[in-house]
Amino acid sequence: MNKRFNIIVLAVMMVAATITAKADYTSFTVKETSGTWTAFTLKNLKLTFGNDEVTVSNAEQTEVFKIADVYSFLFTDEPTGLHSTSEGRTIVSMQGGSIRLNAKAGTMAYVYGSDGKVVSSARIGQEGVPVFIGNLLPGIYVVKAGNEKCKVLVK
Amino acid sequence: MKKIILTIICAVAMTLGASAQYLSVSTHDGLTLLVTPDEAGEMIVSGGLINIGEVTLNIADIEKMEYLTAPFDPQLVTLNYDNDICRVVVPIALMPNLNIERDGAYVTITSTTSADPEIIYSLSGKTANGSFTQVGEYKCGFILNGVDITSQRGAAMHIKNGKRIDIDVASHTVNRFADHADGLQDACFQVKGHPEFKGSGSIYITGNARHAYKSGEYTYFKRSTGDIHILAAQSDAMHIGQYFQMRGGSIDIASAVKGDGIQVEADTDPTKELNGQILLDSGQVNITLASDDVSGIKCDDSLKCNGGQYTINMSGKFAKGVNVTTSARLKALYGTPKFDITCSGGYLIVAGDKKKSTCFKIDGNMLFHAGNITTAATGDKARGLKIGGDYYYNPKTAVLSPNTPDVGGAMRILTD
Repeated sequence: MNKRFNIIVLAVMMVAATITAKADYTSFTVKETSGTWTAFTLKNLKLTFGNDEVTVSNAEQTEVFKIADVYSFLFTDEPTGLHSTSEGRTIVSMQGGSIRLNAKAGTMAYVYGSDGKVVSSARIGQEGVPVFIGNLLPGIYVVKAGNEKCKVLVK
Repeated sequence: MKKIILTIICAVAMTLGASAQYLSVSTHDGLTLLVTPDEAGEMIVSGGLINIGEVTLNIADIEKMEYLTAPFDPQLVTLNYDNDICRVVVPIALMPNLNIERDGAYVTITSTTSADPEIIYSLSGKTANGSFTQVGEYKCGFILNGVDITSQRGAAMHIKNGKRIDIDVASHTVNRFADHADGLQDACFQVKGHPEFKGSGSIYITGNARHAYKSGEYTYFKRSTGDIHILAAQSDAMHIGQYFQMRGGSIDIASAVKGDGIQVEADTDPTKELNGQILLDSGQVNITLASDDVSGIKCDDSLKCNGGQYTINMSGKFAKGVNVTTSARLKALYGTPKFDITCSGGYLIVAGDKKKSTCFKIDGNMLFHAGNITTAATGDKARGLKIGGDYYYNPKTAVLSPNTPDVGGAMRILTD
């Protein structure tokens, strides 16, 4: 009887584990009509609406978008380059394979391929002005700006 | 062993049913939608509108969206009353099943299609100017989670749903309902179908227009039921259709009730199960009434009592403590049934006849297997136990005090 009970419990637990093994979402993305994607990590994520704007904030950053410029919002669970893997205010935006970076002035930014080689680099000239740092082929890249890094998936 | 396995399976099922990653979308007027990422999909913004799953909202109506990770029950609709508003929280997956109308704190939710498993409505908070109405044709449940509703229009709680209604009175909560005196409602707390009560919390109902509580079909108190207090009623305290079964809990009916205490009215369909009956297995009932020509406990058919304690004080004229239209049977299946009934009012003269008060009145036969019935017929011409038919009793286990029954038929000894 004990053996049968253990088997049943184990089976139930395995079913539960299988079902709950579904991947969690890791970021929330604002897609703009311009094609720019801006990603936010989910910790303390909050969107507030008013004055034809939406303010998106999380534990790391706060950005304001005009409602008229927003195409959509969506959760993502892939390393689309739309989430930062470290704290900071570096913002990566993408349009196709074109990557733009907004970071502190003077920051040196690098894009690494999956083999670890630098495929592109740029120096941020002015904070608040996104800098084009590369037009990439499909693949996974790591963007590094100062001490911050994030993964980028170019589809 | 089976119980343990079932418990584990249920726990796992509950874990799976709860969603842990979601967006809480709140509107300025107090509606909150809970949306999982999968349900949200890509939320397209266009023309001042946003599509969230199958729901389209006006962006101007949205106050905020928050990402949360605390699990939520996908079948639970939460209503929180706060003075003149009611905040309603709904999992977005239920929205296709629901039509939600709000006017301040007056909320009506119509269930348009079946949701399986059933939808649960949780009510909390306080309003002196609101109500809750549920409309539907599918089983549903309610959690009374410390709610206080006073209506200035009609019923405080109206469940226009002819199905089984599960009402869980959350433990350690006090829930109050009061209706509007000039409304057209039948009761302050009204259920069209058959409510089943459970949960150890308290309910206080003040009926300012007609009945305090009414169910169109049977009312069932489960063993875990807490305490129900009827503070006032212009008509009956509890007016119940089909039958009333009490397996636990306590009922207190105060003297501000002007009609009967507990009245069970037989359905017009004679084939209905237990039609017109009262079944008392356990619990406590305390009734104090002062009006003339009313009954403490009254039914259109039989009374079956298998336990519990019943204290009834009637001070009006031509009052009946217990009034049974057909037969009564008392047994000690769940403890010893105990009735203490006082009738201190006198008689009424109706068309020349003296209509006397009676503590325990049975028009048909009585089978008194076991229990205690104590009557105090102190009113002028008042009677203790009056049996229209035959009286069957077990002299060893059935205690009647004073032992002077007024029996219309034969008296027979039971030997069970």
